[in-house]
Amino acid sequence: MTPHDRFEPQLLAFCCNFCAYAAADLAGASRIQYPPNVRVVLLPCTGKLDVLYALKAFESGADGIMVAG
Amino acid sequence: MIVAEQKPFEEIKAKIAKANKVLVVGCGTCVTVCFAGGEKEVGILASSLRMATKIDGNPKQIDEVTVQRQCEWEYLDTIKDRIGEYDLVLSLGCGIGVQAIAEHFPEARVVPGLNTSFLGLPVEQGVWEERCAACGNCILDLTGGICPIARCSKSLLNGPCGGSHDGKCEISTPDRVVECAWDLIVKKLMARGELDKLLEIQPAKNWQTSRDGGPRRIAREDLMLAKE
Amino acid sequence: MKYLKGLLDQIGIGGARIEMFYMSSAMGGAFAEAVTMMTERVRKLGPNPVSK
Ligand code: SF4
Ligand code: SF4
Repeated sequence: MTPHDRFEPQLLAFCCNFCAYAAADLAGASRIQYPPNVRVVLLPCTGKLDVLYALKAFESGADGIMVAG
Repeated sequence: MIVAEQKPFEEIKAKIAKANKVLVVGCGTCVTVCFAGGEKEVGILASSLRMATKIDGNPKQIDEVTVQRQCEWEYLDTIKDRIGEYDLVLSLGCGIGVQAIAEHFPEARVVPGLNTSFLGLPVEQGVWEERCAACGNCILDLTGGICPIARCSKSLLNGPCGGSHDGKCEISTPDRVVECAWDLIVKKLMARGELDKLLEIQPAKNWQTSRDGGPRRIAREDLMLAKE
Repeated sequence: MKYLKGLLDQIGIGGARIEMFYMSSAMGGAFAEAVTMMTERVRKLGPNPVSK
């Protein structure tokens, strides 16, 4: 498989404002390479994550979800 | 309150299999507080069903609405303009809600999404227990506020029976421990120094006020609207 | 999380498509690793069956 026809999943990352979001920020600032497949959604805390958020994300076509906190 | 539990997902999926447009109707009263059929459960179930039926290659339009109380005509009127658009209504109300929809909207086809379980309360977060069997003639004053009709497996009036063991009812299994209601009653009255209350033998209960007398009805002249 | 994975299995999406990660604000590397791991896992699982 060439890199061009390989499946690029769309990931959604629900991040806690104070830990994982900052970690993602740091990863960016320190130029750590990570796949470009992820879109980050900021939550005030991962405790705010609701089953419905995850279901809606899948319903709208997300291929995978990360919850990071 | 009325305590209910959602039916297994596969069973619900099978019940709606033939329909194309489904309205999931929640109820904002009892089944909301027991986390079975409120706005949130409606949202989760509708979304899950939309995705599952799509994956099965049989996508449906599945919409959501939650009324304040499914068991009163006035609240059901809030969906009267919408209900005709759907070929199936999936009610997440208790059995009373399901029947109210069927009675109020004779054209609608309605299926139950919940199993209505009992009249009870949450004893701790996530655990509900039966407390009343709606026998129609309450005797809680005789039994220290503990109902032997609903909570004794044999609904004894002069308990406990010989099966009471270490405070547990004889129907208990390792997986399901049931407290003996009569053990609770005796201990409660003992602590209050009222054990002599139990010396009086209770005569056989007249079950006519309960289900044995047929479907029950209460009609109050003082509340009824005057008829011309 | 357990409930959600079970629900996703029932729907037919698969519980493996969601994962929880724990990290502190100083763990930029951990975040990158988690994203790489999830990208690989979901790539193997293929596209979300709902969006087909
Ligand atoms: S005695 Fe009858 S009305 Fe009273 S709590 Fe028990 S079942 Fe309910
Ligand atoms: S053991 Fe207690 S609760 Fe069980 S049937 Fe006998 S009296 Fe009733």
